[in-house]
Amino acid sequence: MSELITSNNLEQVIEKNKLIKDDMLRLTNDFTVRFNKSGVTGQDKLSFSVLKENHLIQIPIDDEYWGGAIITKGNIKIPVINTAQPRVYQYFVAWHEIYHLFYDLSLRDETHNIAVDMDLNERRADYFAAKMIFGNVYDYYYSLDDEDFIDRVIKCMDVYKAPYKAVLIELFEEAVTKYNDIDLKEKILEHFDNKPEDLVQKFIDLELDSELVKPSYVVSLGGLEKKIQSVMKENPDVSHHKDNYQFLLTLKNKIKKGVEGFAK
Amino acid sequence: MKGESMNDLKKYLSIGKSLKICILDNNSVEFLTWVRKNVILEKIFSQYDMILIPQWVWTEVCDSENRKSYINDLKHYSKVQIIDEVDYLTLVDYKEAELYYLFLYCCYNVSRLVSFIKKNILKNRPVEDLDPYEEWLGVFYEEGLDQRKLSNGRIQRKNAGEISIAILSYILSYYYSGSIDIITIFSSDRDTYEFVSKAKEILYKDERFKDRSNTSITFKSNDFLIYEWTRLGYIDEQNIHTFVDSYRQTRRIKFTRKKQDNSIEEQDKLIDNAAFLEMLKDSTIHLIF
Repeated sequence: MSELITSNNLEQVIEKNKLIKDDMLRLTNDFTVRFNKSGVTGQDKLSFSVLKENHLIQIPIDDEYWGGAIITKGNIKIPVINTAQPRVYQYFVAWHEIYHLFYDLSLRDETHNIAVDMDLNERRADYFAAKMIFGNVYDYYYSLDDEDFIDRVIKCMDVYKAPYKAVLIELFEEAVTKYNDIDLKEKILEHFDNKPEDLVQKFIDLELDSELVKPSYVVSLGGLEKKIQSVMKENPDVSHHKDNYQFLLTLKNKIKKGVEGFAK
Repeated sequence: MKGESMNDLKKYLSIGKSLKICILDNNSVEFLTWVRKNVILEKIFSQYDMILIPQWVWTEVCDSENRKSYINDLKHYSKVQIIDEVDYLTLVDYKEAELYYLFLYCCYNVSRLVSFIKKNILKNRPVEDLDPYEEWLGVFYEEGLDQRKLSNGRIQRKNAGEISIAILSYILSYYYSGSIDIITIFSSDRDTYEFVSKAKEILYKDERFKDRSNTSITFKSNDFLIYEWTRLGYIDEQNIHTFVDSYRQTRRIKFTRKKQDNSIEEQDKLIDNAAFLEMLKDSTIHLIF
């Protein structure tokens, strides 16, 4: 993701968003037309199903700063998502990676395009993700009766399946660019750098499904198993497919064993 | 084969003559021993200037006295050389990094081997810092290749023969293209074919190799040989049914067929003996593998 966003640079982020807003809205429309032919309504399901068609690898990695990536090898691009991160991050990362997979010019060209401003590029991916995830979060926020700011934000997280900061950035943008809502703006700035520590407990207290803020630890190797099984069937006289199948299973078991360690 | 004889071979391969080289795989040798009564060695091999067998294949050949004696008899008709994999380095003029890539690419179909090579041989270092070739070749052979104990007590290394054949063919193809016209692998092992094909795909894209001239590598599978022998009249029509029934099983064949308008159709199909006998009558067919 892009540079670490804090209350200090939040305003600049909104300025940057202004520059790319039209572009990103165009891409979100394009995405819906091109990739959501089956009319999937859950945004979390949609992003994962599209990524899975592109051999998404889901793997838990013990690194809280590593959300995912697109691994490129020749012309092949494979999205990877870290499932040791809470699901809300995974959902956001999924959309972020979809931007890179389909719209990122630096990845689209065969040669790496160094003319692309990497920082702005990451901002584009984040903004694309936000635009795919959020509806009118500002209105939703104000429709909530709760007095407590954090409780309302958590309810927004729950409804949009979005990370804490993503909710705040989206609210902030609306407050600043559309409604000139100084009060909300101040509140966001005040809380932006202090994410509640125990989100799981907060979700439970608010009678929400806390699975959303827990890791999923899913291990999935991009449909490779099925692919190898089918070539094994087609080419019974080739032994290396069997070897590769065995190797894949060994790897998968190894990963799963490793996960048992840090899932506890 | 060491020192002197290796240099002799290099000289021979560099004289600029249009050499025709045949590389033998173990499974083909086995097949040839079966059909020895029907087709004499000379007819099969006289067109080649040299017959090469990598050491790892030779080890497999030696598991059977029949195969071993076939090769020994072959020496009366043709120049047969067994090449130790250690000597591949001499053949590539000590370009160790390039040899490393040839190994890597010829193993590319087996993910476990690629992972082994990167982890235990390259060890995250630049390719210039590799251990000496002989050392890492030993590690690759002893620890990288899967092993199985044969009934005769010998430890068989899985895919060793196929990989070695693929590497040797690319060494000949890229380093001696000026003097070699033909490199033909006698093998019916689909793995050998796939290892060679995969490596070709990568070498054609690799900056180190892509613009270099190279001799193409072709195959003669057992089915190919039967087809060829029928055409050449080495097996007569009355015997062909018995011949095919005795020495052939249902197998996947890659071939092309010329259509009425001369366009070419590609096929890759499981062919049983009945269908194969039909194919033998059809001169519009070219067997690829």
